[in-house]
Amino acid sequence: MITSTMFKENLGYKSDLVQQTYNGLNSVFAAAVVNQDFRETLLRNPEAALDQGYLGKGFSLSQNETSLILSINANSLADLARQIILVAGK
Amino acid sequence: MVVVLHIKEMILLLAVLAGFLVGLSLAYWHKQPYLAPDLQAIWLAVVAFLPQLFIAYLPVTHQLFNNGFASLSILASLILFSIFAWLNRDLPGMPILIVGLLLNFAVIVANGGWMPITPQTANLLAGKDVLQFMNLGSRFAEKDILLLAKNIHLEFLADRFLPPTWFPYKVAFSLGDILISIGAFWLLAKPTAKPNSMNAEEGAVL
Repeated sequence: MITSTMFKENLGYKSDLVQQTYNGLNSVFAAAVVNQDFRETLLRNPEAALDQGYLGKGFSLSQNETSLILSINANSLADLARQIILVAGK
Repeated sequence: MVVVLHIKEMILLLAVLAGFLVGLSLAYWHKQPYLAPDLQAIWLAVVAFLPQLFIAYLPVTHQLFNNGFASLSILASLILFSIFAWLNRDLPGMPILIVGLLLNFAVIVANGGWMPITPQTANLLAGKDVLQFMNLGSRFAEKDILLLAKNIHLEFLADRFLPPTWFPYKVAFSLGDILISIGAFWLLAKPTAKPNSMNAEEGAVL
């Protein structure tokens, strides 16, 4: 069961680790949550998804963030997020 | 080209289907033909659905519109649906449906053109890991915006309800959505012709 306490930190519900390390990925996840087509492309062919961008704009990702996205093989958006957080925690 | 039927609309569709089945059953029980509601200006409902079709449902066109235009289109769609509902306000269930539309309209307008959803609710839909990468104020799903509860105007009208855990789909819905579904159900479930009036007419003919 989820409790509201997990969102009280920083009032932003985010861990500092993710916020500081992979802030550029926000736009990728924002697009993936909104658009099913983009989400599926991101999971099946992340390189194509990053190239195509969203709403006519590319993503401002660091080399590290791009490499990370391309190296992960995830079966869902939640799985992708989980794996990124795991890497960020190492 | 794939049209994705979104879960929220699926719940409305289930309400419509359930209402139709109940209406058919009642008609059978009363030994009457089922009379579908006599809707006026159905074309208006079709036109009202088009913005949502292009903005939210067709992946090809979804990416063509920026957030500002998408928000305005959703509001325009709600206004057109409300006009359609008002033109049919004498039909059973329509007053409930109209109230639901107005509540959704009010909360969307009050929050900058999007239906607000809190991180707590969004977390139950997308998972806490995904939410780590979402900024407050960003779009969430097709028509929602992620906001802290304290920053939401008319928070009680926001997408804050969730189906029971045994329900196979995760979806958040608003009080307005509930009323819209009840109204749609009632519209189709309530027989248009009353058994007593039918019998009276038959008696008069005889």
